[in-house]
Amino acid sequence: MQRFLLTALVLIGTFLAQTVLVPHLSVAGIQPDLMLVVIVCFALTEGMNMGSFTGFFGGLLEDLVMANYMGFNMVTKTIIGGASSLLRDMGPREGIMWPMITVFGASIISQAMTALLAFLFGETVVVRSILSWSMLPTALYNTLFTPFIYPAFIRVLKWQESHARMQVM
Amino acid sequence: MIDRRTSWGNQITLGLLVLISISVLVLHFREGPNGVLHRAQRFSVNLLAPLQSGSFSVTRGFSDTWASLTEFSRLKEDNRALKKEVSELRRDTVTLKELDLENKRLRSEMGAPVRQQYATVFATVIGKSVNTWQATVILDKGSQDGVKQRMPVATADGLVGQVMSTTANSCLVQLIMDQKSAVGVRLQNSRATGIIEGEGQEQLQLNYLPKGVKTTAKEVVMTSGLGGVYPAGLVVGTIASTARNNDGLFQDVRVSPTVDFWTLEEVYIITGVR
Repeated sequence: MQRFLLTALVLIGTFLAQTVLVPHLSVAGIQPDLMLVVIVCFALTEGMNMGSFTGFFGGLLEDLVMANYMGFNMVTKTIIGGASSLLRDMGPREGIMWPMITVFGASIISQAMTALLAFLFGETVVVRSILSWSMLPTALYNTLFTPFIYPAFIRVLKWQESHARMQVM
Repeated sequence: MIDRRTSWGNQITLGLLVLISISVLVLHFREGPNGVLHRAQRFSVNLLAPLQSGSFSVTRGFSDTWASLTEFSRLKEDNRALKKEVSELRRDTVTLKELDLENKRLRSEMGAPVRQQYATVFATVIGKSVNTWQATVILDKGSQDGVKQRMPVATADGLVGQVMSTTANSCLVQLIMDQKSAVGVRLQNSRATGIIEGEGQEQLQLNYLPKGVKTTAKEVVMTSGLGGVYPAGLVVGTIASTARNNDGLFQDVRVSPTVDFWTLEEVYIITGVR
């Protein structure tokens, strides 16, 4: 129950930061996708189930409030959450490099999926925008944020685990 | 064995969630604006609006305090410059009032209709778009305040965009820098018309301006009133650069918006004619 509440809080907090804080960090129209970074963090630390569920609910939160097409973020973020967890055991557990590489790859794949969905829904302007200029800068921006988010994320998880152990004792 | 079963279970969960997401996407696309998912969206916006508004106030408080600390040395200089500007504006106001009266008198003598004045609702930005390819903001005013779809939104600096959808106490605004935005405009000096389109970037693209039209740097671009959404005379931006291509009939003109979309906080919505 405590874990569930913590996950919900992290997702809602990330969403609020994404809509309120992140626009101030926009550079030439490019802004980081904090929700994606957090979902990848969940996937890398907690595995496929958690990655998929946080992707699904994180995407749902974004779609419910901001999206023209509800489901765009749900589809891309659920797949990203699930797929990122497959890379969990492929890299070193310690250090920040592997999460950064995963976030970079996840960002590229997420944008490619968005472009594909936009193409299927006839949103050619969005496709052109993603493929011509926003794909790589957004991926790099997300990657730059990972060294700040991932360690904080690990600390929150460790705190929650120790808190839960103390309650059991 | 258990590991394999867990792994299969996880993959089935992932597959189911993806399937639900795709179903939601298709259903949302096919249903009308009063469908279940659209209503759920409006309900969620209403539900989260106070939370977003609160977060926005907190971050604004922080940024205001930080700005006042870091810019303290500049305040004295700014104060002096602003005092000078106020006295100049006071003098301009007197002249403009005279011109306004003269304009009204001449218009009535000519039988021309008097220029319209607009009723407005002031609103605060409480949320901004979550992705790069969409330039939208959420405002804290909705249908309860008389806000409707397609109403123009502006600041004292110039045009911001138009209302895309409303809930009882919030609305979603498409900024003119959004890639799907198109605004009919007129150049202040030459009176030539064109269409400004957003590109999701800092500058806007002015299209369909014939090659023969002479443009000057920093020339003001205003709404033309053509198209039915935006009233005429709202400042959109100033010309940043012009390029005349050998091919084609039109110039390649870039416009810098007068509104700073990155720091947008307070706006007004034009709700009707007064």
